[in-house]
Amino acid sequence: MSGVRVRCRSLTRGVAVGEALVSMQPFGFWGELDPHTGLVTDVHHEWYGRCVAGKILIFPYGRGSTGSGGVIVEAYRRGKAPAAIVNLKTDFILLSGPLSVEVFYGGRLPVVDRPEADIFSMVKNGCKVKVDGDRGFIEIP
Amino acid sequence: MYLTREEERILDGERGEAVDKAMELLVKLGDAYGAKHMVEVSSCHLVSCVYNVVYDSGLEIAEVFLKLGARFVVPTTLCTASIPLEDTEKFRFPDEWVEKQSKLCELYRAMGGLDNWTCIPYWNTNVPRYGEHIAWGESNCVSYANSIVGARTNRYASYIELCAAITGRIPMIDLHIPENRRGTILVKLKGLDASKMTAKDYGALGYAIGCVSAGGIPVIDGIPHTVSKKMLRVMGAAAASSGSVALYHVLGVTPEARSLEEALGGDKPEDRVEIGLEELRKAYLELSTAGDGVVDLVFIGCPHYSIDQIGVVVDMFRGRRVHPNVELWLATDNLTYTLACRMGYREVLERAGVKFMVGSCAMNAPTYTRGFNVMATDSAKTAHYAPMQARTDVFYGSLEECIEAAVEGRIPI
Repeated sequence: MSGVRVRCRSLTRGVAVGEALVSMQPFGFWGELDPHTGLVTDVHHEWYGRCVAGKILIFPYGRGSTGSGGVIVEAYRRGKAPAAIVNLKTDFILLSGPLSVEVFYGGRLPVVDRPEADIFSMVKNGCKVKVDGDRGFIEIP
Repeated sequence: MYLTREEERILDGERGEAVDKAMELLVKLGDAYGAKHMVEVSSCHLVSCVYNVVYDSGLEIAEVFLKLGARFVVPTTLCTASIPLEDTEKFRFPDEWVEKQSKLCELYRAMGGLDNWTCIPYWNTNVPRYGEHIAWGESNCVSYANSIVGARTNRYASYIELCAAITGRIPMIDLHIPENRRGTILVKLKGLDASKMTAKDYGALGYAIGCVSAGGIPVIDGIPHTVSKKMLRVMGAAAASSGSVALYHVLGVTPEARSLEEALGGDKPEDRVEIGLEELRKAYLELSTAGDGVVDLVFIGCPHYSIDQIGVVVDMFRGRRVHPNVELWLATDNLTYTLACRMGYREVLERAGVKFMVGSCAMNAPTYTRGFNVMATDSAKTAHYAPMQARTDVFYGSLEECIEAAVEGRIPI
């Protein structure tokens, strides 16, 4: 895969390729995503009814309760987690999920933030994207 | 990140596998955010012990830690559980939740957690001091400790606070650093007489503050220094749920805001907003999805009620009873419940049909499995989460209005 590379800050390690799911709305996971199915359950969110499993989630930042990380870990354990997460700014509450996936389940869920270009105008829903958490970039075809 | 020799020994596994694993997560967190070093914490308050935020993976992780010999090295309190810890069967929640939360209770007790499940540890069992570094979870606890006390914590969850309790450390990030605690948004109260505002008003005010504060630290100007801690915690809990506010300053009231200059750290605010009657009215509208009609659940005690608040409810119930088609749940912690028993409050309230929800609450318990339609509550935080968590419509009212709703079975007009 080759294309435009956008440098980002790497927060967790790992490399993932997948279909992008993009929203300008913040996303909070807890109460918004069912970790058993990977389906978005928040009726107010534009992803309502979509499945996040294996997707590259691109959204500006997390929101809401302290439960986001726990939902991500449970979704990972059940094979329903996103493949990677790209934010403008990632908070600890969200990052605690992918970090726990690494430490407790020996898995990889790359998270990058602070992209150096406007990814929201560059990446469309369904577009195949690569997230490289080891070297800190995302690659768009 | 710089590590002390002791921290390096921990990472080398010399202090055992549990501490090693916990330190590994904290170092990864610190490295991700560019922390320069770790800082020792004097207490922890955990949410990773609450089933509805950690699910089955939370049980697995706690089991692994205990098996590896984890033991909390600083005073550690546990947040509001996902099932009531007294008279559990009265609430008719699914057996699976009862079993799994009970197992979590057992595991966290074994690691040394204080067996008083509550979201008001700052009221009795875990009282931080100004300037102390702590690693706390649960948004109202974090808001209270940071803002009203001036202790230093970020909003921690999903095993970060658990790892801090096992290692006694946290990376020096964000709100642990004094420069990051300065206010960024100046919120002026306009046309509101804060000295006459009720708890319901403070809840709506907090909700409105949260809505305008996304990502920032509000400095609120216009609240008199005589304001009670109870009003502030109601406001803080609401701001934390609508806007993830982990720290706010109240000019002339909270410890890091003795002057505007101190509150803003000598800088100009990045943003200025005014909140008046119009904004409060809007908050009321957003918080209530039900305007009139039948109520089948009334929930009070978010954050957990203190003993004097329970005393107020006792006075309101003299000669009255909860309507036969309504359940009224009053949430509090185990210690306060014991006191309520000793003072005769439990007897009076249970005779009036009130159910004490001990060590739990309507949002952390699987209230949705009971199929209620309309909930009345005096908590802006609960009102915010109820449609999603309890899957009910919600009426946000004063305590008086909620008791009225419980007795009449209808939203008061």
